[in-house]
Amino acid sequence: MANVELKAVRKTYGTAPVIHGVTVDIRDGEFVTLVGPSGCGKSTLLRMIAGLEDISGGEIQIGGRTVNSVPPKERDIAMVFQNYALYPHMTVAENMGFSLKLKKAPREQREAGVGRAAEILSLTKLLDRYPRELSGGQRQRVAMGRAIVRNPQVFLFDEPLSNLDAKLRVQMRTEIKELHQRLKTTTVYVTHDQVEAMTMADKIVVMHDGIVEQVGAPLELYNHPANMFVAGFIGSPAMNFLKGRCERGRFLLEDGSALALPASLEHLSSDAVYGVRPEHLVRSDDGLPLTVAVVEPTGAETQVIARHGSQSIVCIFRDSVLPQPGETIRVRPDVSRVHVFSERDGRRLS
Amino acid sequence: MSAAMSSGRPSGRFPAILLSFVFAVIVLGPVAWALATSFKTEVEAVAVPPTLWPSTATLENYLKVFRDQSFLRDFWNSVAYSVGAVALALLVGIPAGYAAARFSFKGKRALMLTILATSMVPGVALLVPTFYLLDSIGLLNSGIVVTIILSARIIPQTVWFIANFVEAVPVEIEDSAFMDGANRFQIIWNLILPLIRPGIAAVATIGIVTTWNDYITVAVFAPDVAKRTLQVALVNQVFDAVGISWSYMMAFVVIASMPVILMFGLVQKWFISGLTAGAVKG
Amino acid sequence: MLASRTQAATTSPGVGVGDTPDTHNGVRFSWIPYLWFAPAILVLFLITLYPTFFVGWLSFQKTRYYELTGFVGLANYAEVLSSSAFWNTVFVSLTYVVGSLTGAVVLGMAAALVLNNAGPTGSVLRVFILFPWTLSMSVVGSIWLWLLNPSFGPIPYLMQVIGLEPGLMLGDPGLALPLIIIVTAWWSFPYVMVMATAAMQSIPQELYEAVEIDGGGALVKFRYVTLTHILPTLGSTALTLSIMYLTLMTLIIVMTGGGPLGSTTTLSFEAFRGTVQAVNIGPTAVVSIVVLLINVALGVVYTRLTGRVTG
Repeated sequence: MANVELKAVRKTYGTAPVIHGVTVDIRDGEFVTLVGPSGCGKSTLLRMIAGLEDISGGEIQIGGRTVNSVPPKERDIAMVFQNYALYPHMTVAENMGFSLKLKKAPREQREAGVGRAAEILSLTKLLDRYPRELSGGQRQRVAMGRAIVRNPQVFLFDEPLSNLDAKLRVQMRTEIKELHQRLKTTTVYVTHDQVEAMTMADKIVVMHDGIVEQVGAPLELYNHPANMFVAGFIGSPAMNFLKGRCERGRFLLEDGSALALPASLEHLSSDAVYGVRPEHLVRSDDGLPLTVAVVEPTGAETQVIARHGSQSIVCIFRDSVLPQPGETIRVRPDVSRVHVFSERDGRRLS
Repeated sequence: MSAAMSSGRPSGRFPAILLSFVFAVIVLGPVAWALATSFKTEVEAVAVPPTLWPSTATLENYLKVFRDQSFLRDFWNSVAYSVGAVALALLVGIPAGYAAARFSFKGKRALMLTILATSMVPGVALLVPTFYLLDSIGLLNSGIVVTIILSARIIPQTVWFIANFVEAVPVEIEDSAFMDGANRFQIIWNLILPLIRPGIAAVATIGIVTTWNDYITVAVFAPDVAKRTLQVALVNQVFDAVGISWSYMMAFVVIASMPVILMFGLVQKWFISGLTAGAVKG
Repeated sequence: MLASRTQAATTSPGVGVGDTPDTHNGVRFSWIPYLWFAPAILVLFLITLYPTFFVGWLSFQKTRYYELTGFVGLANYAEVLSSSAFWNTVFVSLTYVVGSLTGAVVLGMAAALVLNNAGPTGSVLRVFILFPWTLSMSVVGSIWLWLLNPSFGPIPYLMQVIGLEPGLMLGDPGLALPLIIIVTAWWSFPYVMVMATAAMQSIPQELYEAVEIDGGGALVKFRYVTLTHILPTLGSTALTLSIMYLTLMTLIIVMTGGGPLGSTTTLSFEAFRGTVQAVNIGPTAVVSIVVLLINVALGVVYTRLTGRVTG
């Protein structure tokens, strides 16, 4: 078990910087997800922790030891890859025992290690199979088994669930989380799926264009996004953003309609962006008029895509009275859940 | 001949099946005739009108080939040159192909272009200079030199094939092994080589066929009778116009082709995949 | 032929990382990747590249047998290019390549289409039909020498039976080249067949179904789906074969020895003859260079066509 510290870590390919000084502190036993859109540098960062990529600047510490120039096998870490990276010509047992074999561990020790991991992941009956004979979920478990066998200080996961179908993804999500709760090994988990990040993590690191936008617990990011990027990235469907101006304690849209502002921003007077999540819009007779475009009921809730002028606004309603396309509805934001962002740099003002 | 894809109606296939057999006869007829002749007596081989099947099948021609004192030597030379050439091609081609697939470094393109350029230089254009150079340093009639020359002919394609096969192996598998503590050589030995084994078999098969079938290289650079191969021995019989015995020669033809026939029979799938690999744009 | 697919090149596990732990940041120059190439490059340099430069040098030397007697500039070139025998050789080569190619492509395409429509029978026969491709040129030459033998060969006999006068066959200056072309096409059309088949089988079945729905018949399917899709493959196959034909000597050595009356002396055969007879290797070097240049030109076209190396 160990903590992982990233201090101003940078990465450049040739002259192109891809990671511009990332500082994150991952505590011992924590489950941290790195999340962001593709190309944000999250996988590169993970691979730098793993030792598969050179570090161009800054420092990475694992368990208090600087590992910048330590090869992967001496970092005491294990990694699960997106496409599992199972060795196709080896059985499940051989796959899981490969690292021990390379360490020239005696056969009994190898068998014991593999057996223990197989039991944890209920793979015992599959030990003699080859990867091609396994289902997607089973392959995923073997990949994790391979990591467990090494009994590492840190687990690294690189988008491990993206090759699975939706149902299996939810199931494996739970399995990985249970595994973490059982082994309590420090885990760094990369994903582009914010739902995965939210549901699994103790702490989320949101990355964008090679920088860390915000670090925090899932609900902290949801309730207090630092900026428009995090606000838009976390939460599904995404937050609605409305352009306008704060004036005399109200927010004026371009067409002159007014929305209520949180009390803390009463005295603000400047151009700004008003952010409200679809689930924080409630129907109200004195609300903003919207023309319903599309209605998407999912059973528990109904998603309504509506327009206010040229602005598209998504609302989620829990009541079962469905509006009709073309109908005009009036909605009011829940002022306590509203965010206002600077028009200039996207930072949250409220 | 309708569309390229069969309609799946067996009744519609009849003309195609018939024509297929016509092609088979065109191609295999001459080979079959040669085979039949090899079992005829010397007299029957030249009988007029020719007989299709040997009236008295005899193994005499084959026994004569085997009894020939030089046969074993020629055979051994053929085996040594072709196996040696393929082994050398793999030995130098696997590291180069692996590096081509996995490393990115300055000058790689230039290196690959150089290898490509060498594949465009035909052996025939190098007969005179190579003969001159070997002669001037006293290396004519060297089995080792002939093996290396044969090998150089198949090295470019070997490098290219290996590079393609390695590229088909996901990099994550190597990353994973890397994290499991394997070094580069363990990765190649334990992972890459087992995984690209079918590819290596295809390259090796084609290499063996190419080098086994060579006549020119051996005939020109190792003219000594003790260094000749079965192919050279066969062609020398043709030149020996006086004593030519067709049935004996056809037996020799069959024996000289036997290793290649066997290999083709055993691994024709690899052979075909080797031929078509990379040539078809999907 | 050879290629580098540079776009797939990857930096990881980085050159440098792992092999030798990187002690400082940034990309470090490393000799290691070059070492991986060194053995292959060494062999190719000694066996292929150096003699290639050397033949160029040789072509500017005055020679007597295998002795060099001094620099003569372009004299060898002038001698070769002004000789009618050389141009005759060029003409024979061209006829040989074009004739064999036409035969091989027509037969190969026909065989591919026929066998592709013949269901499982076709798949089985395809393997057998490919078989002669694996035979050596000396074997192919020997077999056909026997089949075409005017005294006892079965083919002249069959010709007589149907009332044709077989004559001297390979001994006839007008027949020798056509016969060698036929044998070459016979030997190489299975290769075209295999390539065309592989290309055909990579065509998505939906395209044929789409044509059917659009009301197109078999001819439309062949013209607009099959042919369009296999054309690039056919092109590269034709180039591969051209290169092969151009440099092919053994078949001619075995069947005619370049004769009769030089009617089957191709450029490559001339380069071979000049090497072993060694009357005057300067002009032979020039002929070798002509073969080399044509070959490289075809090779470059092939590389462009298949998009290899350029990445």
